[in-house]
Amino acid sequence: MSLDKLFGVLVMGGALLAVGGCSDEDRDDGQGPLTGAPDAAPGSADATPSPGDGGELAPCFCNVDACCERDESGAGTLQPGFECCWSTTCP
Amino acid sequence: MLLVDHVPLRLARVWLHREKVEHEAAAQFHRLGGEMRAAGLPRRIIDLADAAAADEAEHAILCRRVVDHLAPGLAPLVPDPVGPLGPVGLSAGRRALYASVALACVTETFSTALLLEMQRLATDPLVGATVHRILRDEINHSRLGWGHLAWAVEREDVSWLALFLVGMVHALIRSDLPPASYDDETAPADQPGEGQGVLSAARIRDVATRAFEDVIAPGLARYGIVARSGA
Repeated sequence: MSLDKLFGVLVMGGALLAVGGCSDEDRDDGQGPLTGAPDAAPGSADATPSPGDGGELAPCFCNVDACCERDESGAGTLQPGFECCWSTTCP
Repeated sequence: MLLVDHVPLRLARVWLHREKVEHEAAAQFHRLGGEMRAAGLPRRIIDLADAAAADEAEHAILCRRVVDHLAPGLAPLVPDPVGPLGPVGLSAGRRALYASVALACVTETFSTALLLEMQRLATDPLVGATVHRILRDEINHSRLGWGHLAWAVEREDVSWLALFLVGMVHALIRSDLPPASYDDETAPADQPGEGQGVLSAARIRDVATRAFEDVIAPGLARYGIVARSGA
């Protein structure tokens, strides 16, 4: 990556955090997810990621959630059934 | 001969300062996560701030390894205490946004640009691996600020931040940029160091200028934040 691409990678990539992929209704107001479900909303830190049903990919914070696994070289790989949201990547 | 003997120590001192700055950054992102919670931000953004705090603590460990690689035995510097960023009287939401812009949109974007250049020039394998790892994280840290800004602008006018942009950049120049280079401005331009992740002051000025003009200023302007003369 070069300096020329930083605007797209940082500014536009960051903007996707605000609009893309996962639920926008996960305010950390101490009242849990607004969906009414007893468990944390998909993609939140409290969620235990699980592959989506019916062929849908489960959204995941790939940099903090347990949806990535490491191979022998130490590289992180996204597990089947998940998608990385908000521009996160497997460490 | 004397110059050669001193070079590793001078380079190690730069990384020593980076180790200290990384500890301070960890504390700042930890504080930012708390401010975001107080402001009721989406958990997905708070999670990134928390992750950034953990990353920065790890970066300090990585910097220590480089210090010990270049000049073993240098004692760590004591990190400065971290307090709230920005002027008094800000609401919780504006306090968190100010900190996000200062820490992530400005500081982490500068850092990402400098690390890209360090990665390009690094010849020492340990330094190259360290820079690569830190760079990967800094990209996410910068994005967290731009994401916070994009989220906030949908809810309120954020142009008030323009009053503080020049101050943020000046604070960065005073505190964070000097440790990236030799502390001796009189050092010859061809002095070794860039292979060990220590850029010349001239190169830092060039990269920082490009980062501001090509990324930070247009990025902020996208949200109506334009630096005001004399601010």
